[in-house]
Amino acid sequence: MNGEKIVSAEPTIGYIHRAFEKLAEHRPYNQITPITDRLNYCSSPINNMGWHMTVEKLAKIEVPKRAQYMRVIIMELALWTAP
Amino acid sequence: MTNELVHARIEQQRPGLLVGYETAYDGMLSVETSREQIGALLEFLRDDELLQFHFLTTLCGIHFPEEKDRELCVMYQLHNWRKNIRIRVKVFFPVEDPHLPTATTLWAAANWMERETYDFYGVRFVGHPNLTRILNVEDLDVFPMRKEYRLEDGTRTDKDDRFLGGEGHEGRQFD
Repeated sequence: MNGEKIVSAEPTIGYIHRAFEKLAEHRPYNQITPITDRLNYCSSPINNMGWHMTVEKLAKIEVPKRAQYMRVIIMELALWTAP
Repeated sequence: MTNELVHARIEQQRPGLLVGYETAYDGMLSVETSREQIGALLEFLRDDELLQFHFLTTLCGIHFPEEKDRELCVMYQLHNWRKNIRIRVKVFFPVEDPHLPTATTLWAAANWMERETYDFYGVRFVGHPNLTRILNVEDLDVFPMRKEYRLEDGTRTDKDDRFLGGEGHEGRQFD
């Protein structure tokens, strides 16, 4: 500080890490879904979808059209309810 | 622009930078390089007038305990916004000697991501302006995201789950 002027600042983001990656090391993939909810609770389904799409790519799973439409609807609803 | 074109361009302009490449399961080009060449490769990918991978999307550590002398990996993901194509760059090195040149000279965004990688995997980024822990407590003496560290911190004495039906913290297995 120089008077009321900030000359330099060092940002500290705090202890916000909750070791989701470490938790995920010990779980089957379907039990990782609820962890991804908590990454951002304003848009939980969208985070779920990110995880599901990763698993589907790794396992080469093709998602039915109907499920894809339902996903989009759910994600849109989550988007609207998010502040 | 396709993966084949990107790979051909690297090999043509800078032969010898890559030690391997593949098209990953998700369709993204994934190239591997050595610790000595990583700085040159990243700079080439960023500055080449054709490739223009100007954006560092992410950077993280990976631990493969079974792979001798290739235990630790750092993965960079770059993005060319203009042509919307991405590339993954991997570099492997032994866990006994975990150091890499910093990417902060190329992208300011690498600063916090390299601090995070140091914090969790113990990779020393040579030339980084402030390589200190970022998410864990400052006096932590382990790199917790390496596979040998279990889920719960074995040194903690303030947790006691005997009243919840557990047998106490000591000796609980999570894997």
